Amino acid sequence: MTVGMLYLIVAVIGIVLAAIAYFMNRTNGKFFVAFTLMEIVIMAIIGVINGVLGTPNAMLGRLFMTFSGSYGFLAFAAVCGGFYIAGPLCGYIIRKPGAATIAETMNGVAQVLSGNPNGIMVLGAGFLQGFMSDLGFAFYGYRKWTLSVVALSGALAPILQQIPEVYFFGVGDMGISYNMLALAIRIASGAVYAIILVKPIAHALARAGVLRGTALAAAEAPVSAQRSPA
Amino acid sequence: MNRSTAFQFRSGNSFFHRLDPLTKLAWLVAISLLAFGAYIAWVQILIALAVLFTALALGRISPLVIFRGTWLFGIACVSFWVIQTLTLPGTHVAFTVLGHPIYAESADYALASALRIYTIILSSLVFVRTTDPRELAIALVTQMRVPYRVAYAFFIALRIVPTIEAEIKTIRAAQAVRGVVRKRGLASRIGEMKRYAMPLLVGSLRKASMMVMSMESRAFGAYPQRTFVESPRMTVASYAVMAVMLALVVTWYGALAFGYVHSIYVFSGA
Amino acid sequence: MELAVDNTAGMASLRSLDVNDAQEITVAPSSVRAAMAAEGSVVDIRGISYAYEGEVDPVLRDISLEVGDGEFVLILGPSGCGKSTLLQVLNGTIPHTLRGRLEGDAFVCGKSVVETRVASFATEVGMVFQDPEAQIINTLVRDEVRFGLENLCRPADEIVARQTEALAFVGLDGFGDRSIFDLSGGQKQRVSVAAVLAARPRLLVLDEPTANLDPNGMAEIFGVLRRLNREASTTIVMVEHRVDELADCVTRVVMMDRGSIVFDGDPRSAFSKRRAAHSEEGDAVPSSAWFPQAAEFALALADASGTPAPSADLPLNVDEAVRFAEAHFASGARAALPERAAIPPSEKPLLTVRNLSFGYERKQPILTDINFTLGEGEIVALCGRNGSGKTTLARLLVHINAPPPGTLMLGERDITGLSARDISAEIGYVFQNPDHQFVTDRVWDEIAYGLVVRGYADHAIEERVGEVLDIVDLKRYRDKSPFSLSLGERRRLSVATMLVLEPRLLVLDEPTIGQDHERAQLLMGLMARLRERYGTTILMITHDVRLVAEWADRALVVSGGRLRFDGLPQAMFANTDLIKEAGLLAPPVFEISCALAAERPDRVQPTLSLPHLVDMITGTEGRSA
Repeated sequence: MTVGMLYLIVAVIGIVLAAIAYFMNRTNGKFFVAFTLMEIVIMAIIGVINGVLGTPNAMLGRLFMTFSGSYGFLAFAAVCGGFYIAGPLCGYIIRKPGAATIAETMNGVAQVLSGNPNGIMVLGAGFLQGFMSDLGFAFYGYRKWTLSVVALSGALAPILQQIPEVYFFGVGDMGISYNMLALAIRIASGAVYAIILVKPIAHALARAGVLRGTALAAAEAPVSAQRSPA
Repeated sequence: MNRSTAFQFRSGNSFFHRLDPLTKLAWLVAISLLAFGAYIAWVQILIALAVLFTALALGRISPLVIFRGTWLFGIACVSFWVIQTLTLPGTHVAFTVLGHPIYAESADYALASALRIYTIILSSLVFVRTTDPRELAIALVTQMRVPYRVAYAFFIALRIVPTIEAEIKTIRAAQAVRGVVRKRGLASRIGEMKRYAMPLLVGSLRKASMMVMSMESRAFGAYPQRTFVESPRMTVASYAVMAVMLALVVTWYGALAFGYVHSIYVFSGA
Repeated sequence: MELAVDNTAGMASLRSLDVNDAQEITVAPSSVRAAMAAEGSVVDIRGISYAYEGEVDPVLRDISLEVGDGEFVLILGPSGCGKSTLLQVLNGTIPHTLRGRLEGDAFVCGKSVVETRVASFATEVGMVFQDPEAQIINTLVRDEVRFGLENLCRPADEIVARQTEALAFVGLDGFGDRSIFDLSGGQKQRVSVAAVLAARPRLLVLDEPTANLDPNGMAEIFGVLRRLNREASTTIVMVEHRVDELADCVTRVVMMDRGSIVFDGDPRSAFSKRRAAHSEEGDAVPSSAWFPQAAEFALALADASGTPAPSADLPLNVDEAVRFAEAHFASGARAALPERAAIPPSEKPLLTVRNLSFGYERKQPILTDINFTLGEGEIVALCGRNGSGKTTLARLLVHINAPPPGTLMLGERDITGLSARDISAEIGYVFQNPDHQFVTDRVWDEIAYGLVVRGYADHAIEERVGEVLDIVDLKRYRDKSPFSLSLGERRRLSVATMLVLEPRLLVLDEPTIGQDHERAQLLMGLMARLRERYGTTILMITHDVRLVAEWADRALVVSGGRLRFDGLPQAMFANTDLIKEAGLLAPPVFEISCALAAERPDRVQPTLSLPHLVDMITGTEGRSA
């Protein structure tokens, strides 16, 4: 088996997963749900913040790969979860199909605008990451919001996105086991970042009262204002 | 970290500046397709030179900007080239360096793969430097029929990137005053991300409702369509560029498929 | 949404764009009431109450308000009283965008708020908000002004014509191609006004449009609003706390407290009586924070001289106040009392700045040859226009920017020789936005953080944090997330995080930007307590002249990177060229006293203290603080 075959299989897996998600959600009325303007703005903001925070990391990773050769790609894979976080976070907050995709695409936009050295490529990468993250929620019909679903969403993110990147950085020549290792590290990193960050950040934001009008805010139990006048 | 300002739109009046965004996008995709076709050094040299010519002559990007935007990749490409030349197996020894044989096939392949990365980066630079992101967003709506509500996520992103960047600087300063010290390691990296993300998110999302109110109170979303007073249009030049790129891609992949050209380096398999 | 609209076809009439969204109707229509609403009545609200989604306590309680055509209504009240929320009802943002529970009837321009979509109000109600960073969506001025009309599918030539007209009205002809990032704060807010004027609304609603601006920007905006109301007879409803400059051009004042309207009437009767008010946290706060100083002065003078409180003759501006005062001069000549003696140079300078020059690039110095000292226990105001270098100067003190060696001495030590941690133990810096400084998830941890990273013992931390929580009155929130507190509380918390290290100098970065004057007053009250307790020196960067007048012992003015003034605030305000250069306006009390001093030099001297001015006029002594 060649590396090309490996990624062909990975791509097929990705497409099959998407197809399964599509058929699971085709009939339950959760497929095309319009976003409110508030949700669009929230997705843009979360995506952009992720992107602007991620750009220095991307540069660092670039530098790393430059000076430590192909092994830098593995080290970089460990922090890749940071790039995927906007998807699971928005999916968890907004709870509609496509939220993760749009948020991650905005992540890509912000990285291009704030000078990510990988140029226009990160836009496509953002879209692919977000699309796969969305599938994580789709498997549960956008109904289940436990930690494991969030982790799944983070773990799926790198599956399609790694393919163009591997060819771009020329690590396709490093052999099957190397590439599988890189993918495994990315998946683990995606899951770990999602587990550690998504829920605490989302609930902290809801408590700060800045998510009014989202599904997450509606799901939180109503609270009496803590400052009722004495 | 100093941000590279080379990867940013600058207004201008070059041929590429006047071209509509979608044609430029098509050009970018075509260049990527051409570069990904095969690992043949002379072809990659041709493509790289063509893109360099486009950047200098058609996009009027100064050599200094090109250097600033791509030097890091230059180093990366050279190091890839050296490493792969030295490590890939081959059959025809071109010459020896310090007793180490250098194979013709590996040298050719390494040069091709290094140049490919450089070509992609350079074409991205040309695109980003000459394309007003705003026009691109409008083109998405008027030419590609993307719903304008979604395209406006793009406008908002455009609007807030500089604000967020300025805010990150302030937060870094504010947290330094608190005595926060940067640490190494994955766990502290995640912690750091959260420490920056929370103030940024809370601050920006507090403003989000104001942004939404400002847009809705000005009739955003009133109708399924909206007018754009100025929107980019395809010109004769656009069609010409598209035709040339399409012809090149078809010729190149045709030539590969029928075996008129082939890589001299053959994958050894795994 | 069922209307299919041709992109270019003009709509027959803008007023007929009543696109109801059937899904959003939650209250039965009362079309009879709509017809009954008087023709001239722009706003007609009867008994509405509102609570945010997921909250139990209502923000608005039984509010009724009717506004006629051509009125200029100013809404006042302490932070958290519901005034911004009320504005959001006026174009349906509540209940459509922010959801929540709205009860009662609300009609604006004859349309029911509950039954009309926000977008359908665009040609009738224009909304302008506080923060230009948040409300401007596009990056070019012309796109921003066109935005609303493009959404309304107006034809392109009409849009361009209206854009030119709207920009001309706000005095920004030829600014169409500018990037909004290159504009000053005042210009940005004028763009926001133009952006809503382009749709020619009948009613303009503004929520603290000048809260983020310096005095110059504020004057620009108020000038535009005055013309809009007088010349174009646009109805204006506005929340704003800079009443000194507004009181004499509004036609009506509405005061709110804890979600209810407590006063509604003409400005003179509004300010003729001090009123009870309560902060967001439920504490009683003085209403003086949003009273015009001219009116405050008249009330204090009437009190002191034992005359009945003025009502019809209540002064609202400096000229009226001067005329009012003339009638109250007590007989019997008494020499004017000096207010404060010039402060002798402090014997123990805490911080010495010597020949300080600084710039990121050698060719563009931001600061040139700055020299001054800060004495122990002083409150010093640092003033100057945006971009004058004042923030850079303050940041050099805490080493956010690195100063050249030998230019900054903390006591006897050179700051450049100290580590960032050592400096932050001595000098605290309270940032403009408290959120930026928070690094933990809990109020208690937040305050303890500075001690923890410096390796204090656990019991010492426990004790210090408890003490500081008491000082800033946040004990009941010790386990809450810092981000979930109110703005006033977050600001106190950010002061507390600095306080716990017992710094000798505290720098406040623009304590009044983006918030009510009354919150700034509370913050300064806290500062004064700190000075008493720990002898802390306070340096505040501000262009809020009332704050400078009330609290500062000394003022520094930076302009063009040079220190142009170092002395008493009073001397600063007396120098008209200087305050013009620094973009400041003298507080009304100073102008009143100057005018009186010119007439009666035997009795009155220029002063910044309201009680002192009253004392001079009534001829009593010993009452000035």
